[in-house]
Amino acid sequence: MSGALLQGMLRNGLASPYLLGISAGSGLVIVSFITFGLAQIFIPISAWFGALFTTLIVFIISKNGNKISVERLILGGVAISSLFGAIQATLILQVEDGRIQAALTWLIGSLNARGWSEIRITWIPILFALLIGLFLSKQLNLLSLGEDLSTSLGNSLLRSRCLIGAVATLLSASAVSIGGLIGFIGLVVPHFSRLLIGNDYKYVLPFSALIGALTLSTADLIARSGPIEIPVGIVTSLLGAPIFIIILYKRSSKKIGMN
Amino acid sequence: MDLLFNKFSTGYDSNKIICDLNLKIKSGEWVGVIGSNGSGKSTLLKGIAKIIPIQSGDLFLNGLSLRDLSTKSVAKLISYLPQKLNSNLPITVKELIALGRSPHKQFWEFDWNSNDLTIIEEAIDLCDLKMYSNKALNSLSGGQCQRAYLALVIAQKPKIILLDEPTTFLDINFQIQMLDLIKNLNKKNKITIITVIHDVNLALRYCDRLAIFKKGNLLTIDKPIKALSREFIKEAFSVESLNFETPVGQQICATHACDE
Repeated sequence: MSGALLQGMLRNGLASPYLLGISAGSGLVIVSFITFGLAQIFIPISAWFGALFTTLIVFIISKNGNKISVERLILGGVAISSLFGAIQATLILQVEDGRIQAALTWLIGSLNARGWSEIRITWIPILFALLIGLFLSKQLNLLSLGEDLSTSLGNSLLRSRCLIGAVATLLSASAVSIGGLIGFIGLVVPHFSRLLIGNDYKYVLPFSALIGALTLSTADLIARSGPIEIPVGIVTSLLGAPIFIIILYKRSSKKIGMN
Repeated sequence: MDLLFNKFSTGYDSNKIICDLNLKIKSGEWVGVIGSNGSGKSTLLKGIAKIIPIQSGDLFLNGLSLRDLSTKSVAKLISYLPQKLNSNLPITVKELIALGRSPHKQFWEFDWNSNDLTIIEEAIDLCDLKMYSNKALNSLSGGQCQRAYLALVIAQKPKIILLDEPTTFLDINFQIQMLDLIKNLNKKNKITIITVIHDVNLALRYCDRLAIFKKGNLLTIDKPIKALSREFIKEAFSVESLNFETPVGQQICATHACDE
């Protein structure tokens, strides 16, 4: 759902929650915790704050006067991501041998040994953001008409972009704080939902949330069914990448284009 | 709805494009806005629709200051159709037109009520889109697509419609159809219309008054044939022109560009 929100807002089918620096922020926090051997128990909560904080920086960079431009958001996200990525890589090189694996598992994303106790806190922001997110479908539908026309239909660009960005970040930060950086779900699932039920965000948003959960559960099942459990992030990327390529290829036939 | 411009200035960021415009447009009037490229015509429309902010002065709509109105309240009164429309949307024509009801909906309202649906149907009928209403927008031709967007604007139920070059990308058949449709709205529903239009001959035939702009300043506003006198055309576009009488009234032919 976070992916669907961002793809709609940025009017770009290649957008995913990680574009706005969520992965960079939480990844950096996770890696620095592991490198410096800080208390592991605080990793989820600090990854959550790391993600929110980084997205906030990206939004502040892209704010110009009382406008937020889409190009600046994307470029700002990319710039911050590569900056944090570099720091993160430096830190990983400093890690003691035994800890590299722990860091990598977080960065790839795994649901190993995650249970209901993890949900006990995170369900609050997730439920809150899901509910608010559902009400943003109208803004997203209007944004697809273009900036000027959607403004003249009574949609304040600044307000809707901030709201959508906040909700999307809250959702994916919460997910990352549990499972680590599980890839491709936020990118592929919205496309898949659009393919199934059309382009009205009133349906795309809840459907993406459902399909996202379903996809992750399936991927997790596959991850666990081998002789050793592989991180679920590997499964989603392994399966997600080819599916995404197929979708991109089909897009040229105009059937499921964003714009 | 009357529009009263009082030293109205607008533009992008710190760049003032429309400067100190004083003008009154009466309710139910159709005003054409004419001028060379870059003379501020589109900027004027965006300023009226409050897509770009007022920089100084004010615009009053039946006495209400545009400065005091929120984006949503403006959207209930004024609708705006940009020059470049997104024709590659995979939504149906009906879904597109339904978006015109958005400004009348509250944050928590998801569905269209029977009143909305009637208005949407009316807009579809008015623009003769019945047979296309369930087709995807990106499967339509340019002319049909333009009509679908006009229906969206009609469903918005505004008092004022701003159109930025509604005929530029249409063939001559669709051009006349489009303008007749707008004329109909203007006369029957008493909607004030302001169009940016490049075709001086169509402007002569359809508009009640023409405003000619040059470098962000209003050169003249008058009855079409007076506004498009040889002198004003020369001043605004730097071309010599000829007038001649035709069965559809006076028409104009530009003969050659003047050296400056």
